[in-house]
Formats: sequence, C-alpha cells, structure tokens
Amino acid sequence: MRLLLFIVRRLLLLIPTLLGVTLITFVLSRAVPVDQLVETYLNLRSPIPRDQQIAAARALLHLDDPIPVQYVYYLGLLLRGDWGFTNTELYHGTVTAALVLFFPPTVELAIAATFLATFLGIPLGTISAVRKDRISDHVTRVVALTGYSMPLFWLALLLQIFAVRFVPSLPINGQVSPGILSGRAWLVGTGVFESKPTHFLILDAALNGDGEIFWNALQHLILPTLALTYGFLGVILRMVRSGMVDAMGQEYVKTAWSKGLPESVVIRKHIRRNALLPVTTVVGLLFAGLLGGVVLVEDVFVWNGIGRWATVAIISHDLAAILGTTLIFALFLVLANLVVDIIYAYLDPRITL
Amino acid sequence: MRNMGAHVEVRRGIRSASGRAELWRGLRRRLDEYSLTLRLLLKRPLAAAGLLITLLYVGIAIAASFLPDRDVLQTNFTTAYPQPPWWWGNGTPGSWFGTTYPGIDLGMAIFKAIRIDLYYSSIVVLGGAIVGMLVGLVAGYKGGLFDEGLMRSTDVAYSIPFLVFAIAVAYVISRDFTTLNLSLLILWWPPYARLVRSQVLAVKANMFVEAARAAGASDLRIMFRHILPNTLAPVFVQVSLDLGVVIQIFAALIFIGFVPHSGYLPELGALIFYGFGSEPTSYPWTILFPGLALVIFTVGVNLLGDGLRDVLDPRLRR
Repeated sequence: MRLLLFIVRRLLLLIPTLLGVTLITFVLSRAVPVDQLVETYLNLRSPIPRDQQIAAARALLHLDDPIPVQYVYYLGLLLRGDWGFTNTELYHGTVTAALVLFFPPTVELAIAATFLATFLGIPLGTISAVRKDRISDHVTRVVALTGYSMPLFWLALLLQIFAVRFVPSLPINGQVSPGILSGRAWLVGTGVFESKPTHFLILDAALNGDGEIFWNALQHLILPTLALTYGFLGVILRMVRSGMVDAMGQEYVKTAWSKGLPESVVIRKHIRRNALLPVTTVVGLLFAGLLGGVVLVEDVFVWNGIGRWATVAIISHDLAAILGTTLIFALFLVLANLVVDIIYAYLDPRITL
Repeated sequence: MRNMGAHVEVRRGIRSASGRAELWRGLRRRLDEYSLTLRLLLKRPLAAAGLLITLLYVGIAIAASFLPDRDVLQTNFTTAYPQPPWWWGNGTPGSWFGTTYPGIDLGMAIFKAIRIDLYYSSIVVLGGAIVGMLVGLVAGYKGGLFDEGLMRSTDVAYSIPFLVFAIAVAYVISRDFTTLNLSLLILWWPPYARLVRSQVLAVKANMFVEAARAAGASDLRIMFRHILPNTLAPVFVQVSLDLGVVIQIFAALIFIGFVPHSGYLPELGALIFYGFGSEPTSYPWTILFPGLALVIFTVGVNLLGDGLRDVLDPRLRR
C-alpha cells in the first residue's frame, strides 16, 4: 500500500518533468530557421511534389498559429509518433521507424555491459573494501580510476589495435559478419538489417534456432562490451567500496562483530546490503547514461545503433534525427529515474516522497 | 535629532577604521586556512601527485600560448605517413612522440592541444560553477517560489542526457566552439546550484548568521560575506572532478566530427581522430599519445579532487 501510494505520487511528479523535457526539445526545434524545420517533415523519396509536401508539413506543424498553440500541436505529433523524416546514408524513412530499428542494438550493448560491470564490480568492490589499503585494494582502485578517466572511444580504439595484433580471429567491427547474412527469412537487408521478430539480433538468432549467426553475433559483441564495461566498472567499484567502508564504521556492524557472527555473514548481510542501496541507483542511471556513452563506442565499432545513427546524422546535417535522438534519450532517462526511484523505495522502507 | 546624527557619524567612523583591520584579519585567517589545506594535501602522496599533474598541465597550457601556431602546423609531405618515435624500433631519430598525418610532430601538437582543451573545459566548469553558485545561494537564502522553480528546473536538466543535449543545442544554433561551450554551460550549472543550495540551507541555520543579521548586516552582505565562504569547500572538489569530465566530453565531441574544421586542429580529440583516420592498427602511437594526455590529466584532477574532499572535510581536518 505504501509502495503503491509512492508510485502514484512519483507518476504525478513525472508530468512536469515530461512537460519540461518536451518544452526543451520544442524550443530547440523552433530555434532553427523555419525552412529547416519544415524540411524535417519532407519525405525526399516520395513521388508527391515538394511544394505540396511543404504545404502539408506547414499545416501539420501549425506554423501559422501562435507559439504556445504550436507547442500543443507538437505534443500531439509526438504522441502520434509523427516525428518527421530522416534521410541519412544509414536510413531513409520516418524517425520513429528508424528508432525502432536502431534502438535494439544499442540496448543489447548496454545490457551486456551493465550485467558484466555489475557482476564484476560488486565482488571486486567488496574485496577492495574488506582489504582496505592492502595490495588488492590498490589494484582495484587503480582499475576504477583509470576506468573513469579513460575516454571510451579511445579505449575502444586501443582494444581494436590489441585485437588485431594478438587475437586476429576476433571481429573488430560490425554486429555480424556481412557474408553470412544472406538467405535467411528472418533477416532483411545487409548493411542496416532488420531481424524478426524482436529486432534484437542475438535474441532473434536464438529464437529462430540459427546457431551460426548467434555465435558470430556474440563474438562481435565482445569488444564493444569490454570497452563499455571498463568505463562503467570504475563507477560501480567506487560506489561499492566507499559505501562499504562507510558501513564498516557503523555501530550496528560493531555489534554484529561483537556478537561473534562469522565474517562472511557480517560482510554479506550487514555491510554489503546497506552499501548496495546507492549502487542500485547508480546502476539504473548508468544504464541510461550508458545509452548516451555508447554514442562514441558505436561510432568506433561501426555498431548500427542509436549512437551511430546520431553521429551520422550530425555529419550529414539531419535535424530530424538529432531532435529524435535527444527526445528518445531524454524520455529514456526519465523512465530510468522513475524505475530507480521505485526500486529504491521498495528496497529502503525509510524513503518517502 | 542632533544626537542621532552624531550616533551615525560615530558608527561610520568605527566602521571605516576597524573595517580595514577586520579585512586584514579576515585575509590572514583565510590565507592561513589555504596554507593549512595545502600542507595537508601535500602530506598525501596521491593527492600531491594529482596537484603536481594539474599544475604541470596548467604550466603546459600557459607555455603553449607563447608558441606560435606555425611551429605546430609544420607539415612535412615528404614523410606524410606517421613516423614512429625513436624508441619504437626503427623509429625516427630525435622524435620523442613520433609524427601523425601529414608529417606533423605529435609531441608538439599535443603540447598545443592541451592548451585548447584546458581552456575550453575550464571555461565550462568555472562558468557553470559560478552561475550555479549564485543561483543556489539566492535560492537557498531566499527560499520560496524562486527556490521551488529552481528545483523543478534542475529536475528537468537532470533528466536530459548531457552529450545528446549539447549536440542538439549547438547543432541548432551553430556548430562552433563558442556555441558548444554555451550549450555545455547550460547543462553544467544545475548540479552546482543544488550543491550550494543544500550547503546554504545548512549554514543559514547557524548562530553567526543570526548574529550578523542582528548587527544590521544587509542580505547581500550576509549572503556573500557570511554564507558563501562557508559553502565553497564542496564546490572546489566538484570543480576539480568536473574538469576531467568536461575535457573528455569536449574531446569526444570533436572526435565524432561535431565541430567541422578544415585542415588541422590541434585538439586532443581531433588528434585521436587523425590517428583513427590513418589506420591506427599500423600506427598505434598516433592515437596512443593524445589519449594518454587526456587520461593523465583526468587521473590528475581526480586524485586532486579526492584529496581535496578528504582535506577539506572539517571532521577530518584537525
């Protein structure tokens, strides 16, 4: 009941945030010259003449109305999924269709990196805190420090160089080798391909029982995941370590020790449980932030996700794609914040709104 | 009437005479505080290393501004392909960091690049810190509607992914360095505003603020003389940590080709990009050194920030 009330209140608080976020993207879209804005709603490949399309786009955007009225219509367009047309070398079509196509590969990467980093980060952080100021602690701290001090795109490049030199069989870019794509009913296209039914390549390969593509795609996932994980690991290690060191000084931990509880129980049940609370927040937010960070890693690894689409859009001056990316990332971050808050409220009964 | 006038006269006299002495005392106290901070900082090897690295980079940035551009831009098309440094095995003698395409000396280019990176990232961080500090100070001190509005707008700012938003803003206005900086600045002040606001709320409850008000100090004086100096410690820490973040965002945006430039730009992200363009697998040093320059700086400011956090913490101080 308490949790339900919390969720309802938290959802209500979402409304002003969403309005604020959409207001910002609205202002951005109206800050460009009108011609450029209209252009984001033109379909360059449609047989309809350009003049007619321009007139239709002006009517659709209600450009002759006052700005506040335009904002209301803008919200309407967003809700209907009418986000304009993108026209880059990667994709021609509506922005929403492009998002459906490019979002899954990005999420695939982010999930892989989040899992790996969390599963490595929590035990390593624990060791680091328990053996504070010993050699294993120093090693872990150096890993953490270099992790978040390293530009991810640079790390990605280093990994590529390393792989070419020492593990030549490991693929260094792309999501799957292009040679093996043809002749499969569930895969459409070659460069930017569409896999059915979920658009998640690895999942789809498993669902369709296609072992060859499954292994190939997994191998392609290794390097980008490693690059992202290393950057991500630093933050988690730091949180776990500082949280546990803080908790170790608490009175209830001293009580637990003096009761004569075994070390593993004190560490796991008394110290770590409390240290993990803030880690939940960080993991949730980093997952969302990771989606932003992948922009650069995707670019280096030629991974056709949102990030690469956005990079290509920047270079080829595609405003519709940039506004679409901004909005989708913002919405995703809002959602991640919401989920994190709810999980936090579930885990920590002291939290009230 | 006459009495009151005399009273005012006397008060003004006291104020101006003791005012100067008070200022001196205050200055001395603050200097003592700073030198104590420095001494405590230097006692920690990691923090001292961080301070050293940061100072080294600042020194390089200052030295590099005396270096004319043409020295860096010296291209050499007879050996346009990247040449390894002398210690790399069959390297070019005399070149410490090798060259990058087209025949530019990498060491010199990094030297110059550090200046640009440091300059722009410190503008963003310091600008964001100052704006955020002012907003947070007023919001925390005055409270009310302004405070509420501020908190809601920082909520919105927090829910916008940084990199993508900076790209969109700068893209919509114009793709150059100044706009890029402005758009980074727009997103950089809210954390500082929150930080300072929470500090102000804590400091405001202290007795000395009440005493100042009872002595007739104006709101402005209380805010800037009594409250602000007591909120600065976490801001210093945040600034030093943020410098490392912004320099990376900056380099990343240049790396993905966000600011279009013709020819050659001495900037660390751009240098990595040139290496990336000329087959990094055959010429690893072209991306290795510019990246290392970034990593060392970020490690340095992080160590410094962590050290400052410990040293400035009043519970651990004395």
